[in-house]
This record gives sequence, C-alpha cells and structure tokens, in this order.
Amino acid sequence: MQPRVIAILLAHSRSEQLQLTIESLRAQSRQPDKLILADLDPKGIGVREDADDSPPWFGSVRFDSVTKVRPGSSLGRAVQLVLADLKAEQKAEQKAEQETEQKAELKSKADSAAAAAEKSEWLWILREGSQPAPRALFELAAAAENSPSAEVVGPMLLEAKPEGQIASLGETLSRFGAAVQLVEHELDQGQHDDLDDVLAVEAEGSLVRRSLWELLGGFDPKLPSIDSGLDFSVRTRLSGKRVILAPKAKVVTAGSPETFGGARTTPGKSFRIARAAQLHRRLVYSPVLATPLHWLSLFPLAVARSVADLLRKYPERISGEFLAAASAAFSPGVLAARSRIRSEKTASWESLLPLRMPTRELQARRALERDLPEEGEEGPTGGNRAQFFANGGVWALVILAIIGLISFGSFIAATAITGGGLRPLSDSVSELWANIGYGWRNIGAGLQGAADPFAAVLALMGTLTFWNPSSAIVFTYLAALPLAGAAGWFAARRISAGRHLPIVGAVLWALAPPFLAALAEGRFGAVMAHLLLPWLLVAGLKAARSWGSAATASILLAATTASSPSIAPALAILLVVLWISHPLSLHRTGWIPIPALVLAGPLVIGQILAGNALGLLADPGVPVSGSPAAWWQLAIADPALLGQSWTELLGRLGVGFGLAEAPAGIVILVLLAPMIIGTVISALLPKSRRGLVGLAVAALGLATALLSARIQVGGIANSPVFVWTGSGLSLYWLGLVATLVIGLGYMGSLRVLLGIVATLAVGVLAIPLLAATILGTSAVTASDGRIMPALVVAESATESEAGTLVITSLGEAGISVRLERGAGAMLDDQSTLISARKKAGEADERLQTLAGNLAVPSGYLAADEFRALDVEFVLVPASSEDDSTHRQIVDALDGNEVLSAVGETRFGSLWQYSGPRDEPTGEPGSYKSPTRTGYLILLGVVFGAALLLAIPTGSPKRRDQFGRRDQSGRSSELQSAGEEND
Amino acid sequence: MTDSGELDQSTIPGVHSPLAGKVLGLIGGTALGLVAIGAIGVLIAGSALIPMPVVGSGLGSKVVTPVATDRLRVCPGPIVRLGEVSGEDANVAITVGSPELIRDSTIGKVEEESLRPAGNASNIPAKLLRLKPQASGEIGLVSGSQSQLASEPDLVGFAAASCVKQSSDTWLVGGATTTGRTSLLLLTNPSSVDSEVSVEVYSERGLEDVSSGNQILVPAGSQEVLSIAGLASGLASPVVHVSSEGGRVTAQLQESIVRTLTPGGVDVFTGSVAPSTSLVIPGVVIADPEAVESMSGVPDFEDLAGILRILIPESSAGQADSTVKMVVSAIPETEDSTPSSATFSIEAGKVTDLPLATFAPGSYTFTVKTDLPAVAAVRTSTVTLEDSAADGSAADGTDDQPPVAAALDFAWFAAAPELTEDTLISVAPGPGAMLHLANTGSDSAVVTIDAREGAGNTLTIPAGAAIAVPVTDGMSYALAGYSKLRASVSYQGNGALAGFVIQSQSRQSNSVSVYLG
Repeated sequence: MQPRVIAILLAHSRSEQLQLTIESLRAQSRQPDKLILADLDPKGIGVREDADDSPPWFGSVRFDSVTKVRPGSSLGRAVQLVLADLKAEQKAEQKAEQETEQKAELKSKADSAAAAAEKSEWLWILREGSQPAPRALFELAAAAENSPSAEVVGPMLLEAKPEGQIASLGETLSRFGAAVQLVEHELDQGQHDDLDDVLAVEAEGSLVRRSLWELLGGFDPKLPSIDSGLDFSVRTRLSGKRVILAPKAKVVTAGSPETFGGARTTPGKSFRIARAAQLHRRLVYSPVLATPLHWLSLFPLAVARSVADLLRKYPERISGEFLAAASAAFSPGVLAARSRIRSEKTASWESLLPLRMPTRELQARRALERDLPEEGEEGPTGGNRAQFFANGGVWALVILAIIGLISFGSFIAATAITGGGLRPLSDSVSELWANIGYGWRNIGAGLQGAADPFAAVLALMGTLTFWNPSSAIVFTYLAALPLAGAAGWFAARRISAGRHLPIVGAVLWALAPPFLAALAEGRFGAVMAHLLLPWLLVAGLKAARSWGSAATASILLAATTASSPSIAPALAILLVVLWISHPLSLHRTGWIPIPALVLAGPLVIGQILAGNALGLLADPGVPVSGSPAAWWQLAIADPALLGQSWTELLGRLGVGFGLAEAPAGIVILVLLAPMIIGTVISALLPKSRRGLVGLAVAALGLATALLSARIQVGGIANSPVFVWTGSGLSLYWLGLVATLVIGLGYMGSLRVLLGIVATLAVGVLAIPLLAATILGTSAVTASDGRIMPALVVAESATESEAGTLVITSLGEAGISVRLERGAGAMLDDQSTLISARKKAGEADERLQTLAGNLAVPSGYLAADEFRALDVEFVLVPASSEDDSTHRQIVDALDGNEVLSAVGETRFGSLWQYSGPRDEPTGEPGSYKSPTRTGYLILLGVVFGAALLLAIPTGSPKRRDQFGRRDQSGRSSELQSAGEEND
Repeated sequence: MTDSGELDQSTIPGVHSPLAGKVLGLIGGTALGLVAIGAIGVLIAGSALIPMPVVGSGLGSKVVTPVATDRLRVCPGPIVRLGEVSGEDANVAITVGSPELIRDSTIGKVEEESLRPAGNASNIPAKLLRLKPQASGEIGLVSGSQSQLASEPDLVGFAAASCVKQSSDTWLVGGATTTGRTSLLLLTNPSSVDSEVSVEVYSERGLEDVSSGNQILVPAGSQEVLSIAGLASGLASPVVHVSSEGGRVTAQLQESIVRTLTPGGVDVFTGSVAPSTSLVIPGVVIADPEAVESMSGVPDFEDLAGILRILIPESSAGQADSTVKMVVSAIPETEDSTPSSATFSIEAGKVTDLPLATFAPGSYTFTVKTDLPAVAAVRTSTVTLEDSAADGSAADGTDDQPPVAAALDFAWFAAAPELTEDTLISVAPGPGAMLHLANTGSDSAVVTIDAREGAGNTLTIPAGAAIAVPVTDGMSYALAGYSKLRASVSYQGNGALAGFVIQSQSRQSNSVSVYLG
C-alpha cells in the first residue's frame, strides 16, 4: 500500500528560509498527502485564508491545516501538538462520517480503518530552512516501502555551504554513550549510498511512522533539540523496529538542531545543550544499578572535565559543564524517560551492539583527525619568518652569554648576591612560600599585613633552585644578557619581517641602559620586568585571537606588575587600548588583568586603608636611596647610572685621549644617535604605521619615568628613596626598539648599515655599565649568603628571633637605626608596606630613643628596653677614619655597662647583651589565619586556571567531541578571523 | 591597523584615483609619524620647562636627648709603695697613710664611693665622687681634690692631686725609672665595665718596646698599680701614654725619689692634655732658685733642676729623626708681666728635657707652641738647705762642703686644658695654696672667683696674661665669667711643692638626630 505521508513543516518566522523550504516542497516529484504548518511565530506566519472553507495558503503552497504552537516550543512538542490537532480533526471527520452512515457495524470498521490508516501514515518532519531535493520524498517513501520493518527512514543531510558536504548521514553511539556521526567532513560523492541499517538518524527530514510516534510518545521532552532524533531512534531500535537510511534522499539542512527557533547560539551554549543531552541519556540508558553511581559522578566529572577544557583551550565550556551537570542531576524527566523505555522495550541493549561504534574505530578516527595538516603561522607580512637557529639567533645569544659571563664572572661560584637592592633569599623553600599573601611581615619591628606581590615571584624562582634559593638570583645574573636577548629576539621576530632584524632587537634589548643599570644597582624587580616585557608584548599582541595567549598575557602581566609596580599604570593604559581596539574579543582579553589584580589585591587594599596610595608604586626588594635622574638624562634612557659610569670611565681613560673634560652626556648622545636617527626615520616612513604604536608605548614609558623621578616613596636614614625610573625607561626603550625594528624592515638596503651601526653604538654605550662589576663601581657583590655577623647567625639558629640593633653613623647628620631579627631580613622578607610607610610608628620611636641613648654616654636604662624588645646584639657598621660620630658611638657602646664587646666583624663592630630577654609573645596573627588560607586558595585557583589555559597543547580544533556536525564547515570565515587557532 | 599599512581607499571620501590615494596615504603616514615624534618631544620639553614638585616624603628623624649621666670624679687615693718599708712583699702595692679629701658640688650632694684597692686588701682605697642629676635633668658642677703630706723613712714630701674625669686616652709627662726613682702608674676604673688598658712608654731614646704593657686588665670598680720600671727601667725621661678600651679609666703617675738612703720627695700628677700644637702650663712655681741651683750640682741631685719635658709623639709623615721647631714662653703671673720666650729645635719621637733658664722666684705660666702636636710638663723643686734653714740667710756654695738639703720636694706641673664654661675648684689642705689663672684668649677676661663659703673676688686678666691668687685651702671656689681660661692650683711650703690643673666639667651628651633605616 502506498504510504500516506503527512509533511509537518515547523516555521518560526516568515523568513527567506521558509520561502526556500516551500519552494522545495512545491518542487517535490512526489507530493505529500497532507501538508501541515506548525506556526511558531508569535505574530503568525501570515498564512492567508480565503473567505470560504478552502485550505489556507502561503506563498504558492496550500496547507491542509495550520496549527498554532507556542513560540519557543521544541521540535518534538510542536509535532505532538500538530498530531493532536490532526487526531482531533480526524475524529471530527469520523464523527461526521458516522452520522451519515450506519452506526454500529460501521463504527468498528471505521475504527479499524482508522487504525489501519494510522498504521500506514508516515510523518515527514521538516523545519523552516530544510530544502529537500526534488526526489527526496520519493526516495524516502521508496525506502520505507522496500523495508517493511523499518519505521524510521532518514535522508542524507547536506550542508548549505560548502555545497555538497555531508552534514549528517546516520548517528551512532560509542561504547560509553557518546554520540558519533557516522560520516564526518566528507563530500557527497556517492560513496555512502549503500548505507542501510543505522542505529539512529537525525530528526530533520526523517520519515517516521505515525504509529511508532504514538507508541513511543514522541521525542523525549528533556531533549528539546540535540540528540532528540538519536534518542528516538534508539528507543525505536529497543522496541524492535528498524531505523534505516535512504542516502539517495538528499535534504539540505537548515542548521544544527539547537538553532531551531532562530536563536543564535554560541559555541558555549551549544556545548551546554549537547552535554546536558549526553548526561540525560547516560542517566536514562544506564542499568538501574549503575544509575546512582552515574548520578554521583556528575559533579566530580564536571570538575575534571573543566580542567581538561582549560588544557585544551575551551574555557568557555566550563560553565556549560557545570550547568549541564546540574540540569541532568536535578531534572525530573529522567524517571519518566526510564519508565517509558521500560514499558516499550522489547529488544535488549546487546542487540544494538553491532550498530554501535567500537572504541578502536573511534580512536582511529580521532587519530586521523589529528593528522590533518594544521595551518602554519605566517609572519605579519606573510613570507617566511626568521629562524632561530638558521638566521643567527643562536649566535647572538651565544655572544651575549659570553659578554654576560665576562661582566658578571665574579658571581659564578657565589652562594648569593648582596648589595644595592639585593639580599640573599631565605634559606628554605618553605620560608619563601610562607612570605607571600597576607600574614606576618618579618622585617624590623614586624607588621601584620599584605606581602608584596613580588614575594610570590621570588618564591617561584627560589623553588626552582630549591637547594639554595639564592642561586636563582645568581643564575639570573649570569644568564641575564642571553635571557634578555632571547626575549628581544622573539619579540622582534613577532613584529617585523626580515631574516636578521631580530638580532638587532635581541642585542638592543639585552644591552639596554636601564637594564644594565638595574643589574648594577641590584634592583631585581626591574631586572625581572625588563626580562618579561617582550614576552608580554608577544602574548598581548596575540591575546585577542587566542585563549592560550590571553592566559599567558595575564600571567606575564601579573608577574611584570609585581616586579615593577611603577609601570602598572602604563600597562593598564595599553590594556585598555587593546580592549577598545578589539571589542569583539573582550571575552578573552577581559580576563587578562584578573591574576594581576588578585596577586596585588591585598597590598592595594592594605595601602589604601593606610592612606598611602603612592606607596603602591614603590619598588619591591631592598629600598635603594639616591637622587633620581634629571629630565635630559631620562630622555636619553639613562637612569643616572649610565652618565655616572661614563664620567667615571672617561675620567680613568680620558687622560690619555684628551677626553677627560668631555661631559658624559655628549658621549652618550653621540652613541645613541644612530638608534635615535633610525627610530625617527622609522616613524616617518609611511609604511611602518605599526611603528607608531611603538612610539606611543615609548611615550608612555617616558612619561612614566618622568613622573617616577618626582615620586618619593620613603627614605633610608637621611637619604630619600625615589621610584626607580629604570622601569619606565625599559618601556621607553621597548617602544623605541620596536619602532626601529619595524622601520628597519621597510628601509630597504639602508637597513643593513643602520642596523649594524645602531647595534654597535649601543654596544659601546653599554661598556661602562657592563664593566661596573669588574671595576668595582657596581653596588652588588658576591656573598656567602650571610648579611649579619657569624655570631648573630649562630644565635639565630637556636633562638630564631633575637634582634640586632644596627646603628649607623651618618657623620654630621646624626645616626640611623634599624632592627634586624634573627639572621637578618632577607630579600623575600622585604615589604613595601613598611619601607614606604609615611609615618613612624610607636615601635620606631622606641628604637630611635634607644639608639639615641646608646650612641652617647647616657643614664638611660637600656637593659629594660633590650629585654622588652628582645634585642641581643648591637652592630655598628664601619665608617671612614675621620668620622667622629662613629668613634663616639663606639666609645659610648664600649662604656655601656650592659653590653659586652664581641669585637670587629666583617659587618662592623658588634656588642652583645647577655641579660635576660622576654620571650617573644608569638606573632600576632599566626600563619593559619583564615584570611591567609582563603587568599592562598584563591591565588592558587586563579593562577592554576590561567596556567592550564596557557599551556600550549597544539591540538587543532576541528573535531567536535559530541559527534555533531562540524561547526567550522559553516563558519570558515569566522574561524580565520576570530576563532581559536592555538 | 591593517597588515599592509596602506590606507583603505574606501575610507577616504571623494578619493577615487589610486595614485591620489597612495600619495595621501604616504603623506598621512608621515604626518602621523611627525605627530608621534612631536608627542615625545613635547613630553621632554614639558618636563624640562615645567618644574614638577616632589611628591611624597621620607620618615624624617627624631631628636633624642640622652638621659643625663652622673658626673664622676676619681680621687687616686693615698701614696703607694711597692712592698713594706722593710722591703718585704716587694710586688704588692701598699698604701701609706691616707689623704685628705675636699669635695664639693653646686647642685645636689656628692656621693663618695670607695673603689676596690689594688694589692693588699687592707689598703686604703681610691675614692669615686658621684654627682647625680636632679629629677629635672639639671646637674650641678662637681669637684674634688686630695692632698697628703708624707713623712716616712723612704717617702717624704707633699703630694696633691685633683679628682679627675675618666678618659680613654691619657698622656703622663713626668717620672723616671733610673736608680732610686720610682714611678708607679695608678690605673683606676670607676665604671662598671672591665677595662683593657695599654701602656706605651716613650723615653729619650724614642718609643720603648714594652711587650708587657699591653692589655692590662683593670676590673670594674677597682684600681691597679703598675711600676713603670717593670716596663722599662733606667729611663731618665719617660712619658707614659695610657689608652683604655671598654670602661674608661683614670691614670695618675706617682713619682718618688730616694737618693741612697735619703728620700727626695714625692709627687702625684695626672694626665696632661692630648697632644696639641699649643700647650699652656700655668702655675709653675719657681722656688729657691739659688738653692736649687747649688744643690743640683751635687751628684745624683741633678734632677732637682727645673726642666721642661716635651715629647712630639708623631713625626710628620712618619719620618724618623725629624726636627721640629718650638717656641717656649714664660709669662710671670704678676701684674704687668712681660713674657720671655725662646726658640728651640727638638727631635720628634723622643722625649727631650730642656733645662729652664734662671727665673726669679714666683709662679709662671709656660706656653709651648710647636709645629706638630706635642705633650709637655714642667718639673721644679723646692730646696731648703741646711745652713739657710738655720738662719734664713742665702746659702752659699762657696765653701768646700757640698750643700745639704734639709727639706726638698719636687713637683710636676702639667699642661692645663682650656676651660670654656663655669667650673668648680676644690682646694685640698696644703701650705701656700695659690690659684693660677692664665688667659690665653684674644680678649681680656673678667673672672669671678666665688668661695663656696665666704666672699668672692673678681679679677680682670688681660689677654695673654696670667695671674696668681692666694686661696684658702680646704675651701672650694666657683669660677665664672670667662670664655677661655686655663687654671691650676699650686702649693708651696717648706719641703712641700705640689700642683694640679683644673679640668672642665664633664659634658652631658648632646642631642642626637636619629633616623630610621
């Protein structure tokens, strides 16, 4: 018997897509017997009705009936409503018929006829935008006729673009219940025309026997879009019926199921729906004993999969994982679906096994996908990028390494480096980590407060050389030049074309005057910032297009602002520029400041509460006093040390060359001239428009440096401590070098000469700074890790917190005093909360009074103060011969009856107080405070997530794990412009 | 920013020709470059022309005024002899008699504490005078002095010494360690911290090598007695330099002379000032010049003659055997005095004893000016010849009998420190007590001398002049009204000669500016 086909067209709006569908329907070689429109448009599709009883028509097609469906209903629900309407209509017809005919005998005949009619009725489910080929319905009906036991027939779904690509041709389940498309990424070339029995087909365009629909109760209401066809087909199979394919019936699909209703979906939303569907199916299909286990595993699995998502650079899926788990766990439909299956099941799950995809085949498929060729990265102007090994990058680094070893050779076997802004790190890794976050700041009199963010950077570095944390600083010094050179090389490669230009970038960055000055003065935060800035630039340039780069940029931003807070405002401005210039990527770039904010949060809150917002700009590490550079020195990227070292060098050499009187500024200007000329030419070249961004960065850096020179953040004794201008100058230098490197790429043959001259000139410029350690003008020296006399260190091993009062003679100006606890305050103990404080506290005044009375003969009862403050030693550093204040202090301490002289040590003269001392009352605020623990957990979570996201895993994002149709095929333009490309 | 760097033509309204678009693109690019460079230039120029103030400040300093300390004076105690009269226990210091001590203070009461004596436990100890500050922080002036007349078989003479301040560095010019001359170094440590003292001895040969003179421990609150002869014997002209570490000590030298079996006098003197190019020795008493001259011709009585002992400890630039010029002036301490001076050349590094010229009896202030810092002291003697003692007429050495002294004593007069503030003097009991004031400033000084009980006196001393005023012994006097003064007290009697300089009051410590860091 010819099957009767009732075509149900679901339309949600009066759009072009609907017209296409109607055209296709009109062009069918075999027309459906009934055409019903399900109208989901809230305003109505606009079906016209004639005044008489004739069927409504739309466009060029007449519908047999129209059913209004609530907008937003799912496909299954719409079909149910249509069928309900149809049944009502048919019952009304029957009733009319019955009234005109004999009643009783014809009633049963009419019933059986109705039943038989129902049995031979087929539903053809179409949605707005489906475009069946002209022979589609013919092929589907033919296939249904040829296989009497088949109750669902699915067509071949084709993509709209690119034409001819198969969107879906049968679905199946893997061993573990994941949905897998039988055919992926293939063009229709007739290779699958022999596919017959499948486990499942998609709902769109499929032909479903009406009795089966009534038997199974339609689609699962909990699977509104994705997997609705899959679940229906599985239940069909379980009830003993067959599901077949009719590959010759081709239907161009409107889109993946979740786009029904016209809603735009994002990849994240699609993922959530698919995952929720998978979890629902898992709970429904699982054996009854396993279901509770599956239910319990929902949340832990969500957590584990979130971690995996971060690693695979799908962070937008994390919310979907948890929402899907929640909806699957707490939706009431699971029980209903299970009971439905139980009631209709006649076949067993094992009978479906031949139709499912074995794991081996699935793995082979995945492996094939991974081998698909990746897109290679192109340089900014296309063409080949410079190679690190082939184009001289390695040689540049080797030369820089040799220069660095010559320059810092005295540190090779050192345990630690001391001097300037440097002190050794704490001895054990646990102490390093105890010093981060919020807690007891163990320096001087001590304070309960937030640590510098830099302490976290130091803790990380110290952990890398866990046997002797200070070795990390030593290695950084020894490898400083090649590390900077590598950073400069890769950054220059990123922004410029040209085989050998990155070498210019490498050398210019490694020999930058602010960098060498920071190394000579021991300003370790500025050194780290200089090393990290180029990587931050590289990551930031790519952050708009890639999750991994955005995460890397966020971690680097946190590390850079922790190392050098003075450039944080400039970096914030650059971040805002990034946001404004790439507004569509805000979902990626918006996260970039989060790790930096979390890391610096406690300190920011602490300083603002203390009313000392300027103190946030203070450099971490040991404060270094000195007067800042003048404006003209800053303009030539000289944080004052370059000029000083040149003056010194000229003074030493100048006698022979007649240059003794030449001012250092002129020499520096002459040596910088090639680079400045190159930068100016680069800026004026019209082609290197991107170089102007470099100049903008340079301007920001220079402004930062100029302002830093005017901000005093404290003092040591009677010398002021200013914000280090070198970090702003590093940013300034970055902008200049970037502009130069970009511009050199466009200068043609001039670039060779200019590049070499500029590089050599900067090399000569750096000589006195490089030689600073050799000549002894550098503030840093190798040390054995002790900053206090041996007796003090030995005492601290047994009684860890006995204090040492360090009284330094300032000559005519007086004296200065500080308190060191234990073996002294190490580099990770330093805290800007204390060094940048604006007011001396009560503990400070006590120390000052005590020191003032110890430094001269006095009737003060020092023993009481020593006992109360738990001070055991007094140390007076050596001073020059004619310092009468120093002699006076030594005499007074010698004559003090409570102190006994220990003698001269490397660090000065030492006295010891041997009387009883109060036990320390324990640190106020122990390490276990909940604030501290909570903050550390937050820090771990934020940085852990960023780290996982940043780790490059290199997997191409073609495969969609849920076996749904490949989204990328439809949106290839989107992919090249905005989607992931890691 | 497009990759190619060229302007998209469609963004420029009205431009349709590709060439025009390209030219505009070129100009636009260069213009933007100029703007960018100009921006940096504006930044630099702006910072050059607009002076921006410094924001933020350091912590500043706190001026700490030290708690006032006690004023301490150490009185050396009785005359000391090594061993008993009979010669037993020759390595133990035994005190002889006990001195009379006069002490006073202007505000508050002076406490007298006994220190632990050296040697024998039955010795009379040295005394420590302590003046505590008032509750208001004010502290008065304190002074003290002691004197003792010895008449033992081996010790005869009059010795007076003032109670002195502690010092970490003391130069003692005087003494001798030739046969019969005993020089004992009294080291007293009044502090509560042990002191390590090193002793250097210079002589006419230069710096003596005294290996045992280093690191003598003087325990807290005790006195040690050291014989200079034990360090370096046979020295005719020693100068002792005492430096201490730890607690500061006071150092005095006691010299006693025994010629064969006849005691020849005793003297106790305290430290001279630190080496200086300008030294003032006030109150040098010249007594019985003819008797001294005739007596000093007798063998072994040579050291009765008056001498000026001078030492320049360091030669210029460390050269040995360099000679230094010095000018010595003697100012008679009378009204309308006219000083007389002489120039000498002496060798640095060696102690030189210059014989004094013949002066009329009286008291004189000697000033010594040298090119290099020096220490100096003057020794004179008083001699009462036997014949003249009987009838008071001038002795003559014309007969063949050598003159015999009935009573003699010697005294060392040390250089006085400059007094710039009011001070207090205690005059211990003794014969012929005189107060000597020398004005070495450039202005005339009006000095008021106020007896603590009784009337006062006001004197005007012209610049560069000196004056001697008789004072009542056993009394204390307050001196005020001067800006620069040198003062000493002397005693002169029959067989009694002694003197001591007046030290300034110990200064309270100045306030200290204490910074943090």
